[in-house]
Amino acid sequence: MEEFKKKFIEDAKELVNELETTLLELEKAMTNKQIIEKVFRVMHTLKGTAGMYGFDKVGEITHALENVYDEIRAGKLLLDDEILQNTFISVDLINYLLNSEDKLDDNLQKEFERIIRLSDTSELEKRKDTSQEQTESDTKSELNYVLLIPNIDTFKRGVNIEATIVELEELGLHYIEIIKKELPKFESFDPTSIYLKWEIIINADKESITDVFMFFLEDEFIIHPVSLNEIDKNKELKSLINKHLRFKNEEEEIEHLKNITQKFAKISNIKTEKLNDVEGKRKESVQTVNQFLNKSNIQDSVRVPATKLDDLMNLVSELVILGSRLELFHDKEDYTLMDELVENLNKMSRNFRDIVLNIRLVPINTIMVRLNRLVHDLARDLDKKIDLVVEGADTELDKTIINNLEGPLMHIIRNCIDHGIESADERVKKGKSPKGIVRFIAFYSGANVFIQVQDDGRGINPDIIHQIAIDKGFVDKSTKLTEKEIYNLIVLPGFTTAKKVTEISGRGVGMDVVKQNISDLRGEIEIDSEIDLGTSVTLKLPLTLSIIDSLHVRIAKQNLIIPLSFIDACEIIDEDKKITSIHNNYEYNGKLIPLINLSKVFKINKEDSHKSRIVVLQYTDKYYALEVDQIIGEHQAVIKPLGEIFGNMNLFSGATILGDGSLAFIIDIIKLLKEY
Amino acid sequence: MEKKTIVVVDDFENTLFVVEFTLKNNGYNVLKASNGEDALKIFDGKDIDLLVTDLNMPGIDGIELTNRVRKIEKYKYLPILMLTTETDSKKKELAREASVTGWIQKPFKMEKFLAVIEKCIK
Repeated sequence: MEEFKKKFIEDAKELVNELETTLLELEKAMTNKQIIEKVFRVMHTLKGTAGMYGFDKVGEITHALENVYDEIRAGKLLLDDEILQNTFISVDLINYLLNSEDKLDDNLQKEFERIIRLSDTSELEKRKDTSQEQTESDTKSELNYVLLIPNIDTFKRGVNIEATIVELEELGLHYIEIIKKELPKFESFDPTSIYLKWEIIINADKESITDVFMFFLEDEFIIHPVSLNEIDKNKELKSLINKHLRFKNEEEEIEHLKNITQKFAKISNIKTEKLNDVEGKRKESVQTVNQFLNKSNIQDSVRVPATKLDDLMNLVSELVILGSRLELFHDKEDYTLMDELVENLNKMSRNFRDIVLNIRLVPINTIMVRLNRLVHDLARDLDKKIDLVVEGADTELDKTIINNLEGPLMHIIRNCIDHGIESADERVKKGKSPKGIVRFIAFYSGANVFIQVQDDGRGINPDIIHQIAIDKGFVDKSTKLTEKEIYNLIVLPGFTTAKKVTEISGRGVGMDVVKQNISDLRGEIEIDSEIDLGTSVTLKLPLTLSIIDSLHVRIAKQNLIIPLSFIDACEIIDEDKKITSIHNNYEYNGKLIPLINLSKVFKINKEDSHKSRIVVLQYTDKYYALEVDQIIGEHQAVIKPLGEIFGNMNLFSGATILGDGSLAFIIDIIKLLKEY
Repeated sequence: MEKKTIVVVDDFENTLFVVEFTLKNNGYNVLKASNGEDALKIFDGKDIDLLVTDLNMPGIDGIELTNRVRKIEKYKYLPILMLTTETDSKKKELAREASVTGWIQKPFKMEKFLAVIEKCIK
């Protein structure tokens, strides 16, 4: 029983988490029936199971809310701010109850009782009086006939028709017929021209369809409202399309129209049947939590303890190393037969590695729920109006990274809201919209993920920061610093600029802890700000922590590893090119780029017998050349951290074991390029 | 995911700055030029995903720039967006002649601008 109880708590927490997201959505669209339905269903499910495991209070509170939302979804009650806020409080209570084995302290007990009272019939009746006049929200469907007749040279305008059709498909239920009548004979076929026409029946409004056709000229598409039963009687439409589709006679045209509408009707019937089916099942007595999860379109998933994944990851690492050892052995001994086998093994272990890495990747939106809620709560507490705009929430990161990111991100967002964004009055005075915007942007770039948190608040005054830094003895008065350098002083330990210590931020633990956390993840942090325009904090994080594709090079007998993500090309130095290399420049694609001699950097004596090799690196949009003795080949480096003892060797980001069992250092390219 | 490269051309420095800033903040790679002549130099065979150009510029204007870029084999089917103050009816006519992919009317809201860019580049 204990085990079932644990499982219940775990599932319930996930449900409550889901509910929180749903509520935040609901806040933005208070009349959306689907969302209200979703809230109702979660309450219903929780109520059903909570009692079974002795969580009577959870059962009570969900029962109360279920009643309230039942009235709302029936249209008898209008959802208002107050109800929504109470629902948020309930979510917190449920979370608390799940953690405390259904126990509450006195204060929370009062809150709890207040919420329960909300669903009293008399309370509900009172509310109903005020919300009686609400009208049915319009969920009317709009059916449109669309004919897309692109000009023959539309491709030459740089228009992507495929993307347009895909976008159109996303609008709603649709049937698409491609008309190939005018396709020319093969001999006269020009692949850069368009001969096709598209006929579409779609359940979407005219405005959004027109929007999809943004890049098409007015005479390239026709949108005409239709109704399914009378499409063949629609004279206007008939004359409109006859011009373009050239039917032999009216019968053929009617036949054609009937045909496509029937096909559409078929699709829409199938869909509606499915929906009805789900609806019917929903009413079947009490569902289990799992059933609910499956039906609400959440991806099928298996929960696995993270340690198991770590074990798997270790195993893959070993496999990758074994693969490279075998390859090395094979290269030496030259068994022709083994070629294919070794290659296959390597290919498979690489795929295996990618899949295992992928399992560990989680979309960033898993922590967005908490962040969203944080913004919501803070805005309320501080009486500020704030919109959280999220971009790239589906960007994926290693689970360990995501878990360790939540704290720092919460801190950064807190800072934005507490210090960055001004009060509504102040904003209006500055000519800004009273609503502040916190933007959360995540995107990939190379082997990194960037996360940016921006606000459009008051910004940071670099002079103040500089002064504090001087007062606290972080920098000398005489040193000149650029604005960027000044902003990045904020992350120094013990640096806090809050004039007033509030509950929200400024408790002494500040950006320095954030910086530490990010560094631990092999990430970097950068702060930029503009007075009265806002502040942005950028986090740069590695996609994953453990394996990288890399190039194995050698200087004298020293093995070094360069991450492949930086490499643009490898070259052998020609004699005449060498002349320029004396001046620490290297000619690449007709341009001179800085040349870094690795043997000098690492103070290793070069072997004269080797002709130098050049590895061309690209970082941001600049190129650099690295001079090395030998390029051995590609290598999948399993990164092993360097121990404490190597703490001051900051040009290396780690070490790895090569196929023959020897050690190689992984060069931290960014640091190298910054320092040389 | 590769960063997409967008070339932005405008002789008005403010527009150039704002557009560059917005695009960069939204994860695009931006190359800019303040006139048509400089812009053409950018089209030297590198991978470019979109050209956003002003219509009215001294020297080579937006239309001519479009025509010249389209003449280069590699950029024949490049999406090209033109920034303009022209009114609606006139611009469709111009679009047809210049084989421009789409128009963005100035002044524009950044959200709308980004939406059009995203649509165009996909």
